[in-house]
Amino acid sequence: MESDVSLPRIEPLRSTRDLPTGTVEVAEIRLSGLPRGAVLVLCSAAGLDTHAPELMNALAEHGYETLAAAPGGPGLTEPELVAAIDGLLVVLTERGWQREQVGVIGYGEAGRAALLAAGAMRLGAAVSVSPSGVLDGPVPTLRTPWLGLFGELGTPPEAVATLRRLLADAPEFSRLVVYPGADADFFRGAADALGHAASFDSWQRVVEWLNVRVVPRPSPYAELWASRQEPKPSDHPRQGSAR
Amino acid sequence: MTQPSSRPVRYIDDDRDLPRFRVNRAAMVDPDVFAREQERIFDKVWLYVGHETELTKPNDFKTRTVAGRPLIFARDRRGVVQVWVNSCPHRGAMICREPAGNARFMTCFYHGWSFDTSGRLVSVPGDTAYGPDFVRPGLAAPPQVDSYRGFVFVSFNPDVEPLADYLAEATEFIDLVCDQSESGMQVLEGTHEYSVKANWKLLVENSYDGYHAVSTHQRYFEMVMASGAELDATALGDSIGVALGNGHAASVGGPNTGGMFGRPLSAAAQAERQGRFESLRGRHGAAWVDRMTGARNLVIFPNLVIIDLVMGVVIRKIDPVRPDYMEVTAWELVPPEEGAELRKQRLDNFLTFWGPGGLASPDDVEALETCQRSFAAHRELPWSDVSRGMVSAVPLGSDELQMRTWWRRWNELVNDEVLPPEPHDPPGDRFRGERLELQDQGTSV
Ligand code: FES
Ligand SMILES: [Fe+2]
Repeated sequence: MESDVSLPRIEPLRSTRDLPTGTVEVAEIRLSGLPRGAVLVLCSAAGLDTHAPELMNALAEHGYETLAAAPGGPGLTEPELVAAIDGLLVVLTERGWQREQVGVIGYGEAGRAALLAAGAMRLGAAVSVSPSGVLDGPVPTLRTPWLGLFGELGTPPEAVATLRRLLADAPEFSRLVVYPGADADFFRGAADALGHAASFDSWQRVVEWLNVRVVPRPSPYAELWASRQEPKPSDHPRQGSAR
Repeated sequence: MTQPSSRPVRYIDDDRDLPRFRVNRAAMVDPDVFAREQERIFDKVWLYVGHETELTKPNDFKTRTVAGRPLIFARDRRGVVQVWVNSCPHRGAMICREPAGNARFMTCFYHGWSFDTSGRLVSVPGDTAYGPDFVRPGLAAPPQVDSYRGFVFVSFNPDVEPLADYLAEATEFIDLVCDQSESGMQVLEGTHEYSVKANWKLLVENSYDGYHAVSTHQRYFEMVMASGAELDATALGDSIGVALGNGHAASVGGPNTGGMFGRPLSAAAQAERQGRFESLRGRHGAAWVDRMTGARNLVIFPNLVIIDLVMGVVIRKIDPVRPDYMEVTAWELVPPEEGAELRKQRLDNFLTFWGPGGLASPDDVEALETCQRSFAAHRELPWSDVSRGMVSAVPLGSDELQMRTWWRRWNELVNDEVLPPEPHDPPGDRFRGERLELQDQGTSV
């Protein structure tokens, strides 16, 4: 995530939010101008202080506003977790972001929350980085394209294979990537070659996954143009089948 | 001294009295002919782009070249199959430079304009410089796109006839392939891609040439026999050639000829295959399924080949690049419900017979490339002979009716010369069984 171009580092704004599941601490980076999109970062409570600020700055370099939070402890049920994420998305809605203009990334224990969000909501994109416990409950039917990144030493390969099989027939696209020789912490970077490669590649994939899926916020002129348009023929299926 | 004209008076010599049918080899080397083909065939008719099952998820895409045009073959956000010209309406860069993938938005790497899979321009970096009234161009599309049973075609001719009319009687042979799965035949992920230093029409001819099998593919058949198969020579002869309208034609094997071109199936795989045919009999009638079990080599004019040896179905797209160079892409079509063992043997057959490094296709490539090299002497030896079976009451698959049918259509389009079809007797009843719809009669699911 380091960049040779030194951009000013942005200190995330810290505040608390009342969610249906209780009050949580959140961190935010708001951007001026026309941000590309928004990302909801789900991490552990400790991650909010350690990993999240750097990640949020890196996403800002790609034009994404961010909201980071620990969606809840291990005690939450799946519906509660989804309700908590829903509550966090309201914060982004207040900033004018529609759901398809939002990507969600979950790290580690919050990785499963990102997968659940991909099943429960129609967002722009979802990513789980080194998620733990992805097979602890039923695998949701995807409504949002989902990227899963795993370290070979952090997640049993059989679990990844099972998940891949369960997602194969999903109505939305998914991709699962396993980094050979990498442990569960691969995304934090490592000095050894495999760890470094995993960290570098996984960040590239995260950014690309968002860039090709999160709906860009239209510029004022793009909105003007859209308001002038009749619905195009391609808004409707135009291709009949001959039989 | 005046130069002799490089263009012969005619490319096709269709003499019904002798009878004799000949093709002038200048058609395989002349850049003018090549240019006329592009303009009069590839810019005018329906052309295959891909199969719907190659795009399984919303926003899946493949990039393809059709008639020299780079295209994006995609399923949009709502699941509708779309075909776009892979060129940025800004200043031309290719928008998508991957062979395949999944993306809702494709961003041109030149100046960063971004388009969605429905072809809309969704963002323009620094768009204030264009002013508020700028007309934002979306992606261009071929004027016509349609599909028949999952086979998607495009035409660059806005006034082209409807696809089903264009396909004419070839639809019956596509049906014979597609009916082999109750859930719908599916293209497997992955392609064979290879090139041949020969004129593209030589591979068209070769693709339903029953005459060359035993001589060119001796090595392949020796391998098949060494693996314990009993090759029934009479089965090789149990075939017909048929013209299907609009230049489409096929060589068609009688019932049960569809398995003879591969290593024998294991007993279990054989039983599974028979079981599927039995259940299809209840659905479409015995006569139709009997036809289904035969081999068929079909060419949809001009460049789509479907070869169905029942235990292996190849879809082959032939792209002319230069008069003496073509590119070939091939896919394997399968019944998705097929068991692992039968699938394995199907893939084995696909690779060993048709693979670019298999035991058959390289021999075809070698044959065609030697033809092309020898055509350097086309002035000294101008004519190739394609007369086989003109005298037959019912032409066999090892005759050359298929090629003549194709060439006559070619001649019509390229040289404005209409030649009458060949009169032949209708094929036997075994080749004419009709497709029935006996939906779940007497059974409940
Ligand atoms: S050519 Fe595509 S953005 Fe300029
Ligand atoms: Fe051959």
